[in-house]
Amino acid sequence: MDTNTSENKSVEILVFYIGKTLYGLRMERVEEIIGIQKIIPLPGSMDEILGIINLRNRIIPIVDSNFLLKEASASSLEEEEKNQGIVIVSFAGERVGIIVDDMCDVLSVHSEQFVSLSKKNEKNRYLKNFVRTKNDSGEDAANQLISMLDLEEMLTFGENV
Amino acid sequence: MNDFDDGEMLEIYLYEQTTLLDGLNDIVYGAEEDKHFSKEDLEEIFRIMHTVKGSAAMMEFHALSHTAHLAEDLFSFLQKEQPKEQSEEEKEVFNCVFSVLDYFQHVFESIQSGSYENQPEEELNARIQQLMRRLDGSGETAEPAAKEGNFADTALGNRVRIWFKDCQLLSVHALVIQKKLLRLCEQSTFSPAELEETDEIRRSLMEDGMLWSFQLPGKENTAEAIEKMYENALSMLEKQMYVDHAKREDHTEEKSSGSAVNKESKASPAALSSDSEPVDTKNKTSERSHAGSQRAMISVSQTKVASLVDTVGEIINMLSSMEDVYGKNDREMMGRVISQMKKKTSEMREMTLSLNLITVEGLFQKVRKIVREMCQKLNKEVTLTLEGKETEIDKNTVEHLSNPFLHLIRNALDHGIESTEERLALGKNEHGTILVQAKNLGREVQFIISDDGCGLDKDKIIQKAKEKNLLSRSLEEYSDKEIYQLIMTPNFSTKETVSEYSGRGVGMNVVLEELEKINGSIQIQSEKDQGTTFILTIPTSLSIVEGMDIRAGEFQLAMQSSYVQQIFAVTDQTPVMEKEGKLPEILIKKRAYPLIVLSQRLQAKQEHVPYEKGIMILVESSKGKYCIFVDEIIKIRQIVVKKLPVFLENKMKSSRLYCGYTVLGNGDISLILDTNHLF
Repeated sequence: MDTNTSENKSVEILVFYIGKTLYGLRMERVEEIIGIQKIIPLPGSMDEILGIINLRNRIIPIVDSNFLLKEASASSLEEEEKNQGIVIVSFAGERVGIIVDDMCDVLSVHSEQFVSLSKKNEKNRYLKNFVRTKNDSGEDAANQLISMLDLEEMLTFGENV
Repeated sequence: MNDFDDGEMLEIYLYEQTTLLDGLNDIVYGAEEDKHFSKEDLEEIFRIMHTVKGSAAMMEFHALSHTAHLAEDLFSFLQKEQPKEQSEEEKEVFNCVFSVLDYFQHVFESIQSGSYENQPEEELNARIQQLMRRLDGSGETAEPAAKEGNFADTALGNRVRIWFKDCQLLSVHALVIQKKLLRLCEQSTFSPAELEETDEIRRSLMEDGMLWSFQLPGKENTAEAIEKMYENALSMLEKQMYVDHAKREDHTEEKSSGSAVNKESKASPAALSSDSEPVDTKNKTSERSHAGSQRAMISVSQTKVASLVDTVGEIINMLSSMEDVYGKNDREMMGRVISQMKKKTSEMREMTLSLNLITVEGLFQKVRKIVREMCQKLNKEVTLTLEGKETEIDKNTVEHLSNPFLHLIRNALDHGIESTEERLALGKNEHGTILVQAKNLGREVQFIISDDGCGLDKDKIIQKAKEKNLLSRSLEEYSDKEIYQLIMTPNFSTKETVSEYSGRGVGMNVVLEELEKINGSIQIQSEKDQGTTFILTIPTSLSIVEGMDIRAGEFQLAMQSSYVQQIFAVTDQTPVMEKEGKLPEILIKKRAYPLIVLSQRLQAKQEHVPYEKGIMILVESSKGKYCIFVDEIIKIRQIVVKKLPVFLENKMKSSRLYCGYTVLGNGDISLILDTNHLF
């Protein structure tokens, strides 16, 4: 269980779209957010790896989150005005970039807003829990759920299988 | 001591202590080779124990301090009454010292990892005390030398006056010096005694310096010992960054040594040295650089730093002349300055990289230790020869080297060297020989580990390889070298082979893997009943290698030149033989080599150019020679190798394809092909 659900504290989360789904990440895991840039392909790597980018002379692997989360591919949105970006997260002492389709917001959420997963299954294996959004009056908005990503689960794809 | 935080203090402490320990290791192992402690050895060990004791007490590691104290007493006693050469007593002294060494090592490691518990090591302490009683013969513990409290008539009559350079926090630096001097000699007094950063004290320190008076304990208060103390102290002071000079103040006359130090310290670029230099004063120990796995600090020779500072100075000068030229808008002149600048900066790069080089000394120490331990355990007698300990290698490389190294040594001892009976039966010297040699070959360092044991059993290897279906060509095509190389195939050897055969195969693939991480390679020579030789070749510096930029399909990659045997072009398709379902082969001088078409291997979308338009590169890998076909060689250059994130290493489809990456001049990234795993 998420330890923070029991504490009456608020946490900041970064909310973004991958495909048409709203996803969230704890701000503490986010190192920086950068615009989309030239991604150098990495032949021989798993399909979930889009390639690498050079950020200030250090290379950062970029994960194809649409592919990994089985969301509609970003390229299908090509015609529309795209607002893609890269969220750089810290993972096992290194930095990894995750492609997002649209940057949304930084929200401060309270512990009671967390909704735990009913049951882990193939579909939600990379999720930790959900966050129910509120509108300004404090009432539940139209059942907006943010899927909170489980980075540890998500970024160890393809390992120990 | 406000300008140190605790962590830094601890780091410096650990650095100093491990340096001392290295020195101690050297002496003890050296003495063991001679099978005897010389008078100098005993003195030096005594001095080191004393320092360890003092520093431990200062850091409040009391248990350590106590054991060091006992060891110090022991050696103080031994200095006076040396045990007979090769006597039982001396053997016990050796064993005892090795236990103390192990204990120190253990303590420093646990301090480093934060798990140190200040628990007295009763058993070891008792052992030292018992040994001392045995040596004394009278059943009484020898009078601990350091506890002597008899002051001679001329109380604290030996004096040194120390002048400081003008610097901030002068009193703090003076205090550091006081602490160091106290470590050298417990009975010291200072004037001024109270050091506070007040104007008054500062003025007095600047004008009159600090007076150190010391007194040796009664028994040691000989003219010789006092002279030695002067010598130690002055040479230590000479190394301190903020000490301008130090001078003896004898009652009778001014000795020349004092003024000599004075001159020296003024002449040498003392400002370059750090003031946290080890207290160690003998050149023998302090000049060495030290190896070690987790040590965050490395010692750098003065000459390296001095030349680096010179170069930086020159670059700064060039910058100012650049500004001049820029003002005059003289393009020709500008070009000249830029080309000078290029030369200097590349010089500086080389120098900076060399700062990260340390000697293989630490590695050799581990070898000595393991040989000693294993010989005792296996009851084998082995003569160990270590050559080239001054060879320098990248600090990061050493960390990866120690496991393969120890593995090979262990194998040599366990499976290579036969038992004494077997050796005698074969007409060999009853003592086995292990030779470890380090040699600098410019950009590479070569290590040779050889034994005169039973050698590898070629037939058994072939048999095993056949069982495991490892032979891809007919047996006649394999050279001996290639056959031995087979033992490094993963899973080549299973547990049974260890006992059944000579058993060198255990974990040899691990050795290879570890070496490949640092771009190293290994070769094996062996002769039945004559012994086995492993030749390890490792780049001196991990970071810069000769390489080339290549293109395969739409991909641009880099490749190291060190494994390249030959680069050539073919005029037509004829030498290439396509094989159904297998890699094509290429005929070079009537020999067939597997051919990897790089763009296909990388699954490039772009079709590769016809064979006659591209370039063939024949490379040597740990699995044999093979040929790589690339569309183009773009440029041959030096490449700065950077490590790939671990994350990516775990996300490769099958094998490792890249051993790192390099950043091109335009900021693009180029991956470096790992030629050892392509095929």
